[in-house]
Amino acid sequence: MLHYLARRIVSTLPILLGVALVFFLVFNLVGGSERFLYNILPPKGRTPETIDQYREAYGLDRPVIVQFLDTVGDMVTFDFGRSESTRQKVSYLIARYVPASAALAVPAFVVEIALALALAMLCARTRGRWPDRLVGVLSVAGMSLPMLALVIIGQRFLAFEAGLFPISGWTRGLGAIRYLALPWLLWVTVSVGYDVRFFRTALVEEQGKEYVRAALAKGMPRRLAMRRHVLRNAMVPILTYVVIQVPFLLTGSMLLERFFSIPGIGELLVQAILSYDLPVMKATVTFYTLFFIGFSVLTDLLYAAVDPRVRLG
Amino acid sequence: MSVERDTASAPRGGVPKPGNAGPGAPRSAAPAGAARPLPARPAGLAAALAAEAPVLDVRNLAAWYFTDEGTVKAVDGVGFKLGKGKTLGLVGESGCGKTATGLAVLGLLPPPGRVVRGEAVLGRRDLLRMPEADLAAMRGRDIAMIFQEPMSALDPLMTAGEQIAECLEMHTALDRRERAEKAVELLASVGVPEPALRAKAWPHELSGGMRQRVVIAMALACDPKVVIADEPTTALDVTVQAQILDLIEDTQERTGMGVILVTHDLAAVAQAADEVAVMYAGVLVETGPVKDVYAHPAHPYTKALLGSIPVVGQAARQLVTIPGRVPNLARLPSGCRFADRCPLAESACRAVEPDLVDLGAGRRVRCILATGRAAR
Amino acid sequence: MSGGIVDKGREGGASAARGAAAIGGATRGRERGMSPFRLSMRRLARDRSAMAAAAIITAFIATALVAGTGAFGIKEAATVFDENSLDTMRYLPVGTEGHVLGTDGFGRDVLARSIMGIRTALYLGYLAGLMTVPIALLLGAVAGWYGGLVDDAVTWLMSVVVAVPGILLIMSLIQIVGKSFTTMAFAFAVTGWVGLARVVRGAFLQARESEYVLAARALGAGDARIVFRHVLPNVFHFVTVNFVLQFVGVVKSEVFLAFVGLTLVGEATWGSMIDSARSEVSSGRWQNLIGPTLFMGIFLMAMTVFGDSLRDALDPKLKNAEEVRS
Repeated sequence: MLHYLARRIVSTLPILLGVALVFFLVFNLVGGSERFLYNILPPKGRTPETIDQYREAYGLDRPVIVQFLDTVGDMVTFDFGRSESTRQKVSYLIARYVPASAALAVPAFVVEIALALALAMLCARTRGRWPDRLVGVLSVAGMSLPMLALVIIGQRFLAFEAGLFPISGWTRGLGAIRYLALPWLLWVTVSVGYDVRFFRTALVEEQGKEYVRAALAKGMPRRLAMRRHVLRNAMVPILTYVVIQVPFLLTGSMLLERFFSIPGIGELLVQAILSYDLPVMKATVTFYTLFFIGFSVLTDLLYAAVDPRVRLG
Repeated sequence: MSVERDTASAPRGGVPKPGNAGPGAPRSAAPAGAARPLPARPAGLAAALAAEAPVLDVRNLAAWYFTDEGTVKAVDGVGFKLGKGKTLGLVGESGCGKTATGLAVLGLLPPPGRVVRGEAVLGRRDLLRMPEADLAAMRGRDIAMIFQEPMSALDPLMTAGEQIAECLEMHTALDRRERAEKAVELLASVGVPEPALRAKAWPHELSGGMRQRVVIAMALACDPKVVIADEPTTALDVTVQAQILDLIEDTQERTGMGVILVTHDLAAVAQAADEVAVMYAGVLVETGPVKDVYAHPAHPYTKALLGSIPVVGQAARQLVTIPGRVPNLARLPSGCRFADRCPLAESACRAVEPDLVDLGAGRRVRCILATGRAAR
Repeated sequence: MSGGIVDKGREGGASAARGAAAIGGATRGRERGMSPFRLSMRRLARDRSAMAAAAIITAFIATALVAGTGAFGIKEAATVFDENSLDTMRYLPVGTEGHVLGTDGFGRDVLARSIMGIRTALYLGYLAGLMTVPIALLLGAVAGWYGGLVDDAVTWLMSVVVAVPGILLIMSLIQIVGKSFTTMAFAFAVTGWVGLARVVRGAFLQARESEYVLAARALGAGDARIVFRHVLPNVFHFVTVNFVLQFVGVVKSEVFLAFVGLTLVGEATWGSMIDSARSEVSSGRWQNLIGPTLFMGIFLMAMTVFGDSLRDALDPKLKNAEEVRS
């Protein structure tokens, strides 16, 4: 187990190196660094001399390989300096923006998955009949409508016209629930369709398995067989699917964070990209990558915990 | 056990002369109500009595699959009687409806399959017209199934012991510990070495033969009156095949259960069955005592099937293959279903579908050529 | 299985699913000799929802093509102000005579712009697909076919691309390289090739070991012949289905990009229209929301339904294929 973890951690290093490389390619070779220099200077100060001066100050005149190793160093030590736009320490910014993202994403995701599982079980039980078809059609509709349109409509009718929620805003502490309620609702509406379809497929696939029939042949009532054999076995793909989604929760919430002015990490990232704030971009990308790798290790561990056929090693 | 007839079946290995054979003959005329199987009776007599009150009586069963491409008449009017302690071999090629017959009797036909008519009477109750809850209560306790592929019939996330204990959980009042103990006993009774250890093993840790024994233990856990064994030996090595058949036979002798042996392996039927029912394209084409049918097959299809078994010591004999394949069950031809592949087919064969005609001596056949000849 | 009993091949009826499959096989026995592809197409043609979806998609594409030629003045109406709207308020509400879906703040007809939005969506989606498929095919094939170090390198590249959230890379690329449909499509391709490449790699890996390829080799067939005749046809399903899925993802992502200001200004895209509706609905102007949402919703629903049916028809085994979340 420890041996496995150690090996996994070591095996993530090449991936981190690769991410650094991608980042480096995009920003230093495609022309990102020039844009960066151009943008951090005030319009009046954009003379060739000052640009050279800044290039030197940021070390962008050094050999490419040195710059690359520098980027890798930043990522490994998680020290990215200060934000170009706010002059705050990047690590401080991340720590400050993560809680709001988590407050948005975690409850919404939990409700989304629970609801999706309930609906998928309904579908599996009524396969081919109207509840199944209705949920199927609604899922496809939810997947096909633009999220932005749904968010606009939701805000307009539920918050503005009906006054059920504040239109947007943020406060620290528990009071944030007031501002989060509508984004949560929209989140669940928009994303539950994908999950229902995946879960339904997993459940229906298990339903057709011979061991489910064998359980019924032993005299087990269908409901119990559904719980004990179908659901338990379907949990293997479902758990993987759920866990692998988690790292994407942070990017998935970018639209909602920005739309409802929730100070989350997605919003931080959008700001950084739009203002060429290189240090913040590097930091958020690294943060996401580590998050992603961490959760794929977790997926493997869960797999091994759920399925006796899987051995770590 | 007999097929669509009321006369007594031949005792195992006895002379197949129903109605007046052996010491059981006078008894066989006794009213059905008096027919109570008694443990200490000679085999022939018990068999004759059992035949009077079949443990499972399937009549005119039809199970169709309603697919997008049409109605597939997988089972289209099948009937047989299974006597206590007897084995009926249900044979035929792939896709002829053997497995569907078994699943239909258990009420486990997967959608879009549905039983459209017929009865399956077990202990005076019709399994096909029973509320699901009642049927669930009978499954496993009165009628059980041994599945073809032991790997897929075992839940990969449950130990072998747990899966055997599940049957006991459904039908007995035993507590968890007692069930676990019983599961180990059952494993021992189906010849699994080190049963206590195997009970704790996951299915993927067991060998193919071992898994099949677990599946059998699962089916036998509650001493069912009838077991439908669906290709119990197909997935196994030849050496293990014989052991498994012996195991089923031993259990049968001990508990008196009736067995429907669904298979395409005619050798297995010869070894284990008392009667054989040959199925083709959803209907029975020939039924009767195994020895008679094997010695003198009446239906051209049966002949072809028997001709296609290689026999050791007859190296020079040409193996017969049956040209063509089972017809499309959604678009059956008029007349005899086998006519297109039958070497003897005449124009009359394609005109009207023949009935299953009684040939006497407990045999029935669905072929105008065979019955016509008999009449002549 | 014509060999009868002597053929110890597995009985088709064991699991009920396989039982039904065997029966289905018997059903299809009549069509022996039909190629798998034609069989799939027949299955697809019998699927009513697939045919309805195909009809909708065809209608959308035809409308877009016709509009692009300048016929019926659609192209013009989408870009040029309506004189009448200039006099009064530029915004004309939904249901105005001559402007069924109203006009936007520049007096441009929303219906015409929504129709032109189909063109943008098709252009973007197809361009992205056309860039993705070669990347995925090439990298997947090379990795699976040659194995060894090449495989290690491609696998490493895949895990790197997967580890970086795609939308970040897309946003960064557009921001740095500049806003153009080609850049957008390229960004979608760079981030979207991994899923397909994995499948292709798997197919080639399997093919390399398989008996039919060994047999073809033994008969003296060259690599190219084996690949084109035997392996590529097997991944055709995945390419098609992936194309449809990616198309839906790209069109939806364009809306998000518009929202963060990374789409093309001035072009008729559904994203930019919906994005401008964001500030307009507060003054009761819904036209820019209704038009593109309706068009996009119907079009993507048809695409999704068609994609599902296509997947099922091409390969029933694929029913459990992973859904890609965009």
